[in-house]
Amino acid sequence: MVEVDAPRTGCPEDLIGAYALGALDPEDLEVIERHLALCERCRQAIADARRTAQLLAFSAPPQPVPAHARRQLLARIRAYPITAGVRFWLRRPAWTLAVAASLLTLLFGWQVIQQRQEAHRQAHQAVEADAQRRAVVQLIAQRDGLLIRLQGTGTARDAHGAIILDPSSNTALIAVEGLPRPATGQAYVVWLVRGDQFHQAGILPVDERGHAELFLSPRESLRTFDAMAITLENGPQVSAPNGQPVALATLD
Amino acid sequence: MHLSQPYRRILQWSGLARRARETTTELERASDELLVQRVVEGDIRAFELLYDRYARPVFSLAFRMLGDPGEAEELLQETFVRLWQQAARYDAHRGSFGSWLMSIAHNLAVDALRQRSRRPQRADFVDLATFPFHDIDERATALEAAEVSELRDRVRRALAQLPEPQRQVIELAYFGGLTHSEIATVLGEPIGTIKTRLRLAMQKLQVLLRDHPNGALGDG
Ligand SMILES: [Zn+2]
Repeated sequence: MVEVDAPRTGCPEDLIGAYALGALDPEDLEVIERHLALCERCRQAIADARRTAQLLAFSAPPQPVPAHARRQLLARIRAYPITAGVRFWLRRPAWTLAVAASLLTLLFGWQVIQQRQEAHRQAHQAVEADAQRRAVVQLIAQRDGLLIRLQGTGTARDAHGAIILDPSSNTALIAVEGLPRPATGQAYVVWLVRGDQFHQAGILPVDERGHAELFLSPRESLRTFDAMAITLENGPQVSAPNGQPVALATLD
Repeated sequence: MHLSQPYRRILQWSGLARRARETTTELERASDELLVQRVVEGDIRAFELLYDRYARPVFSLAFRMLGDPGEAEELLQETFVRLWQQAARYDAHRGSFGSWLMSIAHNLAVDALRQRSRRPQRADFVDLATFPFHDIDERATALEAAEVSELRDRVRRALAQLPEPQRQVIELAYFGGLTHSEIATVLGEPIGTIKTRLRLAMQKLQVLLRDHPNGALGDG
């Protein structure tokens, strides 16, 4: 029979089991890894050995698990956005002053630049911006608002920001930075989600610096919505989301 | 109302559509693979169910390797944080979920051991009565995946069939994170002897465990 694989004599068979266990010293590790790059037969042998090695993990004597580990873990998980697929922005149950302060800097920082650059901006827009700032200040002063952090996904991966909800005045402020400017004709649409119904809440305008903010004051109570979503749509006039999802935050 | 694909996807992500029609009992009966998929979508309920099934083997492995309940608990949390962050990396074609998760825990424990200058304490010598916690997670015991206890028995039986010196080198390598030369130093024997013994031990263990294929392992 003809050997089609690398010759047996060249195979470091004595190292395979130890490799699967992670027990090789650096010199041997180098030898086998150089060999594995060329030898399918040894790669297969390692895969088999590794399956056996992995089973050893289950042989540890069973121990009781401390209950507080679960509580701490779940608290940690809620603070992390998930990295795969979509990022959720997980609600922070309470204000943290540090986040609020940096959000304020973020908001006022670019507001000032915008105003300087757009000196011709109409008076009522300035008044609107003032109202937004007042709302933020009020929210922070009250400290019973809700801050939901945002982190972008897909092409908007670098985007981040926050949604501030003020249940008492039924208002919300969405502030995002690092958002790619939409192509001509496209728009970021904000949706309020209730059950399986999407209600368009507005267009999120993005400036040339990737800053975006939207002040919402919906007719219906924000408490009755389950989530807020942002999608990139081909045009602002859409009745249901069809475009690429950019962000989602649950409001429960 | 007609729902487009991305629209459905958003509902799935938010878990809202599912929340309405899927009861917890249904989810409790779901396979590991389905639960991982839900974790990828950000479903904390699915995450907790996987925790119920695998917290005990992960914690037991960590404790066996690190010999310290506090460190083992940290490693338990770190392993599941990785699951939360990296669930999308799990590929069901390459093996069972349990083996994948235990590999994450094992790698973290080996890293921890190698960062220590001291060598691992043998967990067998720690008196469980001195554990600094009294709040035992009953769910993690009661809901442990059935495959876990089957595997535990099977692998322990296989190890018990190895001659004691062979079992010892395998355990020093796998649970102690030691290399050939480190095992040789610990046992005071020539490195050549250790290499041969470890090779024979692994070959025998492979045969012993291959004789009882377990579908949950993703063998083949
Ligand atoms: Zn080879």
